[in-house]
Amino acid sequence: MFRRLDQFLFHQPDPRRQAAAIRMNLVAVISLTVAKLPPGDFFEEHRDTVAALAGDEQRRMLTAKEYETLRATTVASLAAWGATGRRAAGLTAAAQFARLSQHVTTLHPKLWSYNSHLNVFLAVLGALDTSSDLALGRRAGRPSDPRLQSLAIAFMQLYVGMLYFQSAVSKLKYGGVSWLSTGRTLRAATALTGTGLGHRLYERKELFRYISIATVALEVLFLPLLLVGKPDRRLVALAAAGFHIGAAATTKIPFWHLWTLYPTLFWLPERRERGRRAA
Amino acid sequence: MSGSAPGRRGWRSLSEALLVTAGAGYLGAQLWHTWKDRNRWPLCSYNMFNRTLPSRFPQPRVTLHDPAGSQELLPVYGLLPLEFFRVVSIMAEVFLVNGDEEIKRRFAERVLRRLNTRPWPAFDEVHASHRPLGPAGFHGLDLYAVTLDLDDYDPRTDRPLHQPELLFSYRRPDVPQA
Repeated sequence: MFRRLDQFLFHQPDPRRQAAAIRMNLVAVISLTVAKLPPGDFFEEHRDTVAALAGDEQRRMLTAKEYETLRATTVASLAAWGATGRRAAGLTAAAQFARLSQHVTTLHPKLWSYNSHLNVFLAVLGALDTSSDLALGRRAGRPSDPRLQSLAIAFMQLYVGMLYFQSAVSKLKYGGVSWLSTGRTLRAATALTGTGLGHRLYERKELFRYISIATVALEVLFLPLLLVGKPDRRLVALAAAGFHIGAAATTKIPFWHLWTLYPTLFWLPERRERGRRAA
Repeated sequence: MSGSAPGRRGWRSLSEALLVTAGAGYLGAQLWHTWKDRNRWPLCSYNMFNRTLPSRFPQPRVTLHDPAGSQELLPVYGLLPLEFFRVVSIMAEVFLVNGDEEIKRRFAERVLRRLNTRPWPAFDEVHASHRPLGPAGFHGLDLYAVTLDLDDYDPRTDRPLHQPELLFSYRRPDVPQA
């Protein structure tokens, strides 16, 4: 078991190439996230309301100009990190994106921030030099130890597995067995944020029980299957991506910023291995 | 492939052990937040949809008025350029938890102004802004709590909505009311 864990943490296949691919994937996903954040004047116009509700009139929030400047420079840093894979650019982008995300959450700090995995992944991978692959000026870089690159990849994979596990724990602890047996929560979500397809499925009340059970089953099993490695991790991630695509087709909840990372996070290594064997 | 340097193995093992501990600690902290059903950015409990809803449950709704007519009991999602679940919580915070009428009035005035001047499209979990029926724009809103019953609710028509209870009403002072 220890040997398997050691393999998982420190010997991911071709970690430098994969870390570089994840870097490019993250740059695309986070850039789109930043581009689609609410405009700065929106936060500014509600600044006094936020401060009054929080009982903190002196609360320091970014001005619209500061926020928009930060948004633009974050995208610039992300582009620099994507192009070079250098640590300075990665850590700068991580610090900027963290400040932006934190600013967005000030409107309602108790609410879960559903994309903070992007902050964590950017900080973890940005702290490494991934300039050995898919980067300009590769000779000038000092790529991090492949064992550390492997560890970063493993951490991100485990984060995803833990995310699903947390979702299951939360439903079972706070929703209980009735969450599974009635299917009402997912049916209500489909009623309120459903697409045309979701609204047609809404009529089939029984179906939502099975969808609820399947959802929690996937969430519980993802992490152990990931660690065991059987069935193939690619298949497990494919099932999870299929789950999100199904959710996006029936509700307006795409969770795109998670599963669009799966191509590089879960599906890339084996492809590279195959390519190497064929060469 | 791992390129380990035997001479530096001890130092590497210590740093790697620290990193593994830090990573496990972070994931453990997240799981603890799940257990406590609490979020503290960037720690996330991933507690979305974690309650079993009853068949009948309350929902916030808004009626928007413009000179061309009124749009009755719309979802509140299209009032702010934020994810729909944040909009619901913010509306509850401003109009239910908060008791200051001036904050409510100011907030409603700004919501209408943005709807009239800076409409936004849908993206991800942000719903598109509600659009006025005519060029003059919205001049008022009424916020309601309604009850939705899964046994008779039809999502295609968004009806019936039961027991509407008016929570707050706002009219722009610069627009003469009919």
